[in-house]
Formats: sequence, structure tokens, C-alpha cells
Amino acid sequence: MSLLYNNPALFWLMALAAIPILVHLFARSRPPKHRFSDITFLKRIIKKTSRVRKPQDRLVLLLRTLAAAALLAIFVQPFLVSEDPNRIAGADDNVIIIIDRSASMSAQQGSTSRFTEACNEASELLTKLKPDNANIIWINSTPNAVFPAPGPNLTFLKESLQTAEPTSDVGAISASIKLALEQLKNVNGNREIIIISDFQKQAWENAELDVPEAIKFTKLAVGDTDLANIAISSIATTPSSPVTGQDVAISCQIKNFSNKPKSTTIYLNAGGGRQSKDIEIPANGQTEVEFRTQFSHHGDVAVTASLTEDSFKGDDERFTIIPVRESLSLCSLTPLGASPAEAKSKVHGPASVLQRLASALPWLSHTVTAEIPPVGVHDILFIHEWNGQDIETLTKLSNNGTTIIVTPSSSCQLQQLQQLLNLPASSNALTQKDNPEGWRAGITKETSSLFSIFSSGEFGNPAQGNFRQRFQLPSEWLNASIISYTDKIPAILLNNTSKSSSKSKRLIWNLPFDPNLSDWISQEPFVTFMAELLLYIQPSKMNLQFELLPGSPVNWLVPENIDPSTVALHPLSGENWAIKLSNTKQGASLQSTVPATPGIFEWRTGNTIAHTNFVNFPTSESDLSLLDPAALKQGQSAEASDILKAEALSQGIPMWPWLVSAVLLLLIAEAFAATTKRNKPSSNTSTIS
Amino acid sequence: MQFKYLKPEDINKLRNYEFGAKALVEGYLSGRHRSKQRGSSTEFHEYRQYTPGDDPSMVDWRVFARSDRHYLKTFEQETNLECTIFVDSSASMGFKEKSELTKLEYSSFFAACLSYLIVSKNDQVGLQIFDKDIRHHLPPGSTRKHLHSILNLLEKNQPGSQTSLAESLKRANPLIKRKGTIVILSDFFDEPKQIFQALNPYIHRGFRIHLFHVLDPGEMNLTDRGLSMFTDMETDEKITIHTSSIKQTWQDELKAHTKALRSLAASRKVDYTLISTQESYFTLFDRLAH
Repeated sequence: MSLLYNNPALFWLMALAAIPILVHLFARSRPPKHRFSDITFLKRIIKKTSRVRKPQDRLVLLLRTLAAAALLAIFVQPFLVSEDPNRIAGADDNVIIIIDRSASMSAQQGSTSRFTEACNEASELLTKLKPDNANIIWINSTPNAVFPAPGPNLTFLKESLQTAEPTSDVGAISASIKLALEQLKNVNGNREIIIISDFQKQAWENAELDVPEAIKFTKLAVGDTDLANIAISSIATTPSSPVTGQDVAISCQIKNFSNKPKSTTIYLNAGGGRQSKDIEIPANGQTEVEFRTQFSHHGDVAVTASLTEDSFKGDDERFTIIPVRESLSLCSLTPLGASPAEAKSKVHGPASVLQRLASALPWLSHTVTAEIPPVGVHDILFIHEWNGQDIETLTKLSNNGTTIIVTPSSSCQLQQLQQLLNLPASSNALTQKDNPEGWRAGITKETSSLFSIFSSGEFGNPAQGNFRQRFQLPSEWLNASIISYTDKIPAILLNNTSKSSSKSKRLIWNLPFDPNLSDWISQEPFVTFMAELLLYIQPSKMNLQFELLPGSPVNWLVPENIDPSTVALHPLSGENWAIKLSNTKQGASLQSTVPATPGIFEWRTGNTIAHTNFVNFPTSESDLSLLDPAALKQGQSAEASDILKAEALSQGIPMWPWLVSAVLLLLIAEAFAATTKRNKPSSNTSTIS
Repeated sequence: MQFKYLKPEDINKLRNYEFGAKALVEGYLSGRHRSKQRGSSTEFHEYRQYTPGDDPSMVDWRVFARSDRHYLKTFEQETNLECTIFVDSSASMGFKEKSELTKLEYSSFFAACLSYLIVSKNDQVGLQIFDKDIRHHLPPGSTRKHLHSILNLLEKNQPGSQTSLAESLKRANPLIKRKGTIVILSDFFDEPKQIFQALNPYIHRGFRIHLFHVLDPGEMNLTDRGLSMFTDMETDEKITIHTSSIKQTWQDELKAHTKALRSLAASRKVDYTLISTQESYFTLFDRLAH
């Protein structure tokens, strides 16, 4: 900071400040002379009072001199100016205020939310800074600005601040700053970015604030305390896409973002059924709650988990969609490349076994086909007598959610099997062997949840029977097998068995169905095992196809059989949302005109729900603890008042009101110092008699 | 004959101070002396005709036998009062500020009047003019001539050099032969203890002592002159001081000084009176009457 003067020409007046000193010195050098009867008394008195009087006199002289100096300084008209190296004198001031609009900003801090406080601060800054050009950029999931470039219409910006609401998005901080820098890139004059946020710890901890030094960058924090909060952080269902009647476990994780343990109640609303549980959550910990249910009807079932409301309501609800299947679609594929007659004869045995199995299981449908079916038609494709061809097609099918089971044919190579399941390489050739006495088989991985019902022994050995024909698969593959022969030859191999939820499931089947080759299918555990296995290997319909991120529009790629013009977007709570149609390469796409907020959204054609989406509150926004903006390397953290002071300083603060006050104060002090001793009340003031 | 310090109007005024003088002359001394030297110290004054109420024992029966008239034979009573007036004539006594008279003039007026009053009652009055030394000493006398000598001496007297009352009192002690009354007129700018140490011999000898502390109003209430250079009238020493800054302390010091004088005087049965030169010196006669 430096001091400048409006009237430096009058600076010589400051020399007059020495008048009191000169008067003092002059008066001392030539005082009026008086004869006095006896100065012995006077000398004694001076001795007594000099210790008090001298400093007092000097103080009075000092105060008088200062008062005179302050009085004279008024004429020079000094003003205080800050020395901002980036500031160009006389140039336009361009200010971009970036306001955090992420979900955590809706937290109530006292009587107002953090976002309201941020808007008020921004409005005050615009009013008092009066920049030549300004703009507001909102930190949303997709940052957006009020103006395409900083503009002079501050009134419009202030109106925007008044009508703005916080979102449920995760703020894209870096993208917001990039947008601000982009807008300031081609602007001349003084450039400044003021970022107003709660500086929520999780969001800002690793934020990249790369602002060039030429642009003044200030961080202004709103919200001064960490707030306690309880949030549902996730919902998971097992299985993710059950069939009707299947037991479904829905587990919810509840987090406590506070230093004290909390107790609350969690409610689950799944397909119209409502359950609740009272829970205790440890301080700064989490609790998992599991609800069990079944669905009697197929379709997409909306599930809502909710907590007793706390002060931060946004994350007290969480949603998911459970796609409940009517049945599991099992398809038997005739040997690839075989003639229909051959195929029919060859697969007749195993396919008929699966057909009978499907008739025994109400949730299983079975079809036979000679061609590889397209993606998404069947859940499980059972390829009988696979000759090792079309691996790529099968891999694609598998990757798109179809479980592939192959029984090798004699023409199949071991490497092809190895390639299909990504098994360890083996130098052995694939050979088929017969054994009139037969082989026995059993569970390889007893810990697998697939065999949970067999663990009690009530249902016997799932591979109970005598098998008289098999392929000599390498015993090195035993680790990948779930059922194996007693001599360590794999009987059923499953890829990535440890990741049962993986989309891509592929199996090698080395257990003959043919009654001539084994008596397994006639054994009691057969149906139980097959049912458990089919449910276990059923493809997971990840609810990613249903979930959308907050801040992005609710969108749906309309299937060809639905007329997009008949579709309406209906949020579960509230009225229909406006949607717009756009044609993409994949087909007609519908999307909402406004960003999605947490909730469940139904795409309806008439009264029929064609598709369902859900949007959840971003988990990272639930932790309302704050970061000290000073901890962020870039920019300087300040209060709004500091920014205004700095601005006032940069404009120059006239000092005359302060000087007038100083003169008055100094004169009062001088009068007090000069009279306090003389007017000291004393009982001796009466005349001596 | 006209004297500077004894104006005719003062002489007229002094008649009203009969009672004061009587107290000084008779009330204190004459009673004692009368009892001591009864008959021998009387001297014929005059005859006068008897008037009812006169003491019949005073009638001169011889004259009655010769003239058949009642005459009283009156005698002049000799009281033997000896009063010595000490007048401080140091330089400081020449100070005046708010009064028309210097302290010395004021003291001289009072000394003259008192001398006149005493002589007029046929008592003896002496005068001692001193500063640091005894400048003039007139032993007690009761004649008109003696009074004139006193008045002349007062008239010629001028403020001298430094004062030392204690020293003067010490030196005057052998000069005053008979015990009597001592009246000291001074500004008492001396250490009270030293003054009373010098007075102790007089007190032991049975002197009645009156101290008249004469100050100018400008000394009693220091005039606010701002920053001033003061020159000591006795020593010519100079000091620069801001009067407003020491005014209160001066007042306090002076009060403490007078208080010390007063308490020492009270403890030794010495009469002490502080008087401002602005007041009439006749008020001192009232003080004497008490």
C-alpha cells in the first residue's frame, strides 16, 4: 500500500506542523520575567513535580504537534492506494464470479443455506465492486455461465443470483475454471476470478486450480462449520436381476458423517412393499442393512430406501431399479456347421434333458436353435457339441450379457477351449475317453455360494451318478472348475468364478446328459443343482442402463417398436417433464429439457411404463466437512469484506475523514493531558488562611 | 509632625482600638506588674473632684480638711510593659503584586501604629529591623521622642538582602534585657523548625510572642502567568517555570508551611496570625485583643 496526495503542491504546509515545537522552544527561551519574593519554594515544588510534569508536558507537545500535522495533512488530501502489480490503472475491470452450485451447497448453515449465502455475497460484490464487465459461472456437473462472455449488465446478473437454486450435481470444478479462463482469454483490462464455494473437503481436496498469475484469483468461503449428516450411500441387490419368486437381498449402506454415533430408521419401499429397520451408526462410520424380499411380477421394480429426514435432506433417499425377469431364457444351440438332421440327432439327448428341466422349473424357458442368436434374445446359450468355431461371436455375445455354456465336440481343440475361458495353456490334446465302469464327480469349490444349499448334505452330491464318457481336460484347469471328477479332471469349468456378478460368464461342460453315458439326470440332486446353477450363472442386468447422473438430462434411446411422440417423461413425484426428441445413429433419443434431479423417472406410453430411470444423490456430496481454502495452493483466500477493502484501496481511499477524526481526537487528548493534572480535585484549593 | 507610616486618620482610628490595646497592655501585663510593685511604682498624676461612684478610699482627706471639698488624688500607674517589634526587612519583604503595599510597608504601618498605641499608654516599645543580620535595634522606650525615633527608623528602612529570622532572633536575645512581648512581622520564608528553635530562648524566658505572617495575595494564590522566568528578590537567582503547572502544588506547599508554623506555634503557646497585605492592618489589633 502507498500514500498518494491530491495536492502535493501544498506539501510545504506540513512544515507548519513544527509550529507547536517552535512556540514551545521560543517560549522557553524568552519567557516574561518577574521578580518573586522567594523562589526556594518554587525550586522545591519543581523538584517534586518534574517527574510528573515533564513527561506530561512532552506528551502535550507531542499531541499538539500531531494534531497540527494531521490538520495540515488534510489540505494535502492524501489517499491510500494498494499496489496491485496485476492491476492496470484506468483499464476495464472484468470480474467472473464462479459460484459453487453443487449439492453440498444446499446445506443449511444457520437460517440460510450455503448457496443463498454465496449468492448474497456475490450480489454484494457486484454492487460494491461495480466492475465494468462481469459474469457468473455456476459450478454444476456441466458448468454454465449466465453470459457467453463478461458483460456490463450487472442488474441481470443480480437477478440471476436471486432466482438461482442449488443443484444435486457434483460440481465440475476444473471445468468451471477452464470456462472462466476461456471467457477471460480475449478480454482486455484487469481480469479477476472470484470463486465462492463451501470448499467441501471431498470435492476440493484434489481440485486443480490452474489460473495464470496475470489473473487475480480469490477464493471466498461460505459456511464456516462442518455439518453432521447421515446419508444412504448405496443400494445393492443380490441377484441384481432376479426372476419372479426368487429371494432378493437388498442391502443399503448408511454413513454417518459426524463425530457422534447416530440412531435412525431406514425405510425400504420395493414394489409396493414397505419395510423398516431401526439402526445405530457409529461416529464417522457406516452400517449395512439388509432387507429380503421377493417379487411376484416381472418388470422393472422401483426401489426407494429412505431415512428419517435430517437437516441435509438431499441424501436421505436413494433409488434403484430391479429388473425382475418373468423367466430365464435358455437356448440350446445345435452343433455349429452340422446339418439339421445331424444336429437334431446329436442334440436330441442333451436338449431333451434341458427341455424336461425347463418344464420342471416354472421360471425357465427353453428353445432350440441352429444359428447363434442375436445379442439380448436369450439369457443362457447352451452350445452342444461345440467344434471350436466362432469364438469371436461367442465372446461378443458373452460380453453383452449372455452366459455361454459349451460342451466340446471331438473336433474341438483344447486351445479353443482355453481361449474361450482364458484358461492356462496346456500342451495336451483334447481327447474323449470312455470308461464302462464310469467316473464319479463332486464339488470342487465348496465355498461357492452356488453350493450353499448342498452344504448341509440334505440335497446330496450335486454331481451324483456314474459318468462313462468324458473329455480328458487338463488337470491344471482344476482351479477353474466348480465340479470335477474324483481323479482331478475338470467336469464343469466356469470363468472368473470369484466374480460371480461379472457380466461375462462362460462355462465348459464335461458332464454327459445322455442317459446312455451317465445316470446323473436320473439322480435326485440333478434338478436342484441345475436350478441353482442356472440362477447362479444367469446374466446380471446391471442397473447402469437405468441409472443416470444428476445434472445430466434424463434420456432414453427409444426402441423401434415405440413411437417416440407417444412417450411422456413422468417423475415418480410430480408432474410430467418436458422432453425433446433427437435422432441419433442408434435411433430416436428422448431427453428431458432440464437436468435430472434425484428421483425415479418413468417413460410412459399411455399408461404403460416403457422404461424407468433413476437418479441418485452423489455420494461424494454427503460429507459436509469443509476444507480451508487457504490449503489450496492457487489464489488467495479472503472474506467478501477483504475483497471490497482491497478494491477500495485499489481505487484509493481518501484519508481526510480519518484525518479530521484524528485531529479531533488528538485535540481532545491534548486538552485532557494538559488539564488533568492542573484540575486534579484537591481539598487544598481553598484560600490559605 | 507628619510620618509616613503613622497617618492622622490612623491615629483617629486607633482610638477605636482602645480595647485591643488595653488587652495587649493591661489584660496581659499590667495586672502582673501591679501586684508585684504595688505603691512604689506609682507617681502623682493630678487631683480631681469627686464624682459619685468614685472609690471613697481615693478621697484626699487632707485637701478636704483644708478646703472642705472632696478631691481625689490620682496616680499614674506604671505597668512596666516592654514590647519589642521585629520587622523583617529582607528583600523578599519588598514584594507586592496584588496589593498596594509591599509586605515591608504593610508591616511598617502596623509597627508604627502599634508603637504609637503602646507609647500612648506609657508602655515601652522597642524596634528591631533585621534581614540576615540586625540592621537597627532601638531598645524599649515610652517617650514621644522614642516614638519619633521608631517612626523615623521605619520610614528610612528599605528592603535589604537575604533574610534569616532565626539568626536575628539569636542575636537579639542578649539585647532584650527584660521579659515582655515580642511582635514579629515577617513573610517567614524560613524553615519553621529553625524559627522556633530561635524562639525557644524567648519562650523559656516567659516572653509573650506574636507572629504575624505577612504575605502578598499574589503569594497566597499564585498568579497564572504561563511560562515565566522568576528572579529571587533576595538572591537574584532565576528560574523558568510554567505557573499553571505548579499553581496547585504551590498552594499545597504554602498550606503545609503555614500549617507547620501554626502547629509549632500552638504547641509553644505562641500566637500566630497569617495576614494578607490586601487586608487592613487594623485587623491585626483584633487579633491582639484575642
